[in-house]
Amino acid sequence: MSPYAFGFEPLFLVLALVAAALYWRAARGDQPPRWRIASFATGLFLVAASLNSPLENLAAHYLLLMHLLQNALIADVAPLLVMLGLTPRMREALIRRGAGRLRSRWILPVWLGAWYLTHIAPFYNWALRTGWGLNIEHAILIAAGLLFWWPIVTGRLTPATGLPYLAAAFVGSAFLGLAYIFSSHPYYAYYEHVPRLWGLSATRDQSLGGILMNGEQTLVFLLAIGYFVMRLLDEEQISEADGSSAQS
Amino acid sequence: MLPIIFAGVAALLFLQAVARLRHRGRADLAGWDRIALFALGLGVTLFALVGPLDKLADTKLLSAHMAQHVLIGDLGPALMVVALRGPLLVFLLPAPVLGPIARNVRVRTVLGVLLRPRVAFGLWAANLAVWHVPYLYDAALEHQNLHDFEHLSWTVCGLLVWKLLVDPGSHRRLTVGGRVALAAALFAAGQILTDVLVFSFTPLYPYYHGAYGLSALADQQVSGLVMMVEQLLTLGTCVALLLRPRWLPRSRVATA
Repeated sequence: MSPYAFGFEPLFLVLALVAAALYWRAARGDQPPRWRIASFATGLFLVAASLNSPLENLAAHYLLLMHLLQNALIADVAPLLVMLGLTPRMREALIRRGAGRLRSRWILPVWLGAWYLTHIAPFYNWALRTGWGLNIEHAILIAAGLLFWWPIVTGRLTPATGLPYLAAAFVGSAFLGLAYIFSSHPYYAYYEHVPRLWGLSATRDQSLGGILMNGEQTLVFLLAIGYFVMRLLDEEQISEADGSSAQS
Repeated sequence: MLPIIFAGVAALLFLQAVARLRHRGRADLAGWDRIALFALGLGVTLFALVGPLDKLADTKLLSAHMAQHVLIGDLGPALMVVALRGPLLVFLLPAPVLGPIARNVRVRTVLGVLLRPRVAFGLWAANLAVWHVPYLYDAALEHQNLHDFEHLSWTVCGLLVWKLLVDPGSHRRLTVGGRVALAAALFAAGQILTDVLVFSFTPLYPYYHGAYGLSALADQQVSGLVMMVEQLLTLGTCVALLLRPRWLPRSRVATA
């Protein structure tokens, strides 16, 4: 089989279609702006496409680099886009159904736990060897990603609490990528025994994966931190304007 | 020798400021905590410039050189500026020196420009970028005068940005949000260099060949980490202290 042949995880294709159908139903009474629809659709597309495309085949049978790219897309980028796609009314509906009980002080350790546990060698090797175990790994990463972005996108975190939340997540999650970059031996036995592609040794493949993961997280987290800093500045401007209007 | 002279002058100026404030009955504004902070800042800077770290930085390890730079350009200035909060800053220069400087329009204009947030940040970022160009980095290692100038520029740029972050004289050039934004911008700029050092597959500075079992590449990657960790600690602490009042319940903020 060619390394560039399509690979499939149909479960996530089905889940993406179900999510799209639910969004369409909710959107009928809500009329979300176009950018929210585009964001939600792009998030679903990233999940469905990265798990049902040549990327899936490359990730599952050849390169850790591609697997980490896949994980970064479904765990960080896609959940953020999906969450941004929800209108305030949709979020309120989710809050009424129990999401309101989610607290950021619990979400952060759960997210970090999911991030590290899904990447420890025995689980990773097992998931790759069984194939169906990959579904579990990917489902955990997507769920953890959605959970992580929930308090940020819903505005439950103020800038003063959102900034440390993001900083802790950035610092806490960075060690995995750094470990890949700095290690002089491959962590995953599975990738030592797969056919080599693009002239990459198992160690170089892992190193590149770490760079990709670290680079992606730096970009995403710094953008999110930048957003909260802008909100902080906006808040100050508003309170300054309120103060001066009260004085006059 | 030069760093010791500078440190001696700084220590004398600080001690006379403490003595003058205490003489006026304001020991509360010049307590032992301030003396400890200033001594720590000065100690950190001296340790980086005249201790074994300097030798390691000059001859063996890029990571030691990076540690030296973050100590003299970041941690040292940060501690000293924090120590000088309030009237101590005004008392730092004796009246016969401060008076003419304060009345000199040119000096005030230059300082005013340098302490504009965008100018200070631009200078800091440019300093960071310029001194890490491999040709200049290696040239500084081979020419002592250039090396001294490099170290001076780290400290001056560090003092400028930390003056804005800490605002020891309560000049309010930046709001709390503005200071958080500056800290975030400094971290983001530093992160670019960190990423270049950590993600590079080849050593960028031919002067260093690795030592103590570290290859030149591993040494370079460690130097990137050193910068990232130090920035996280100093800027992270600064942001945490700035945001702390917003984490406290309103009643406690009012009584604090």
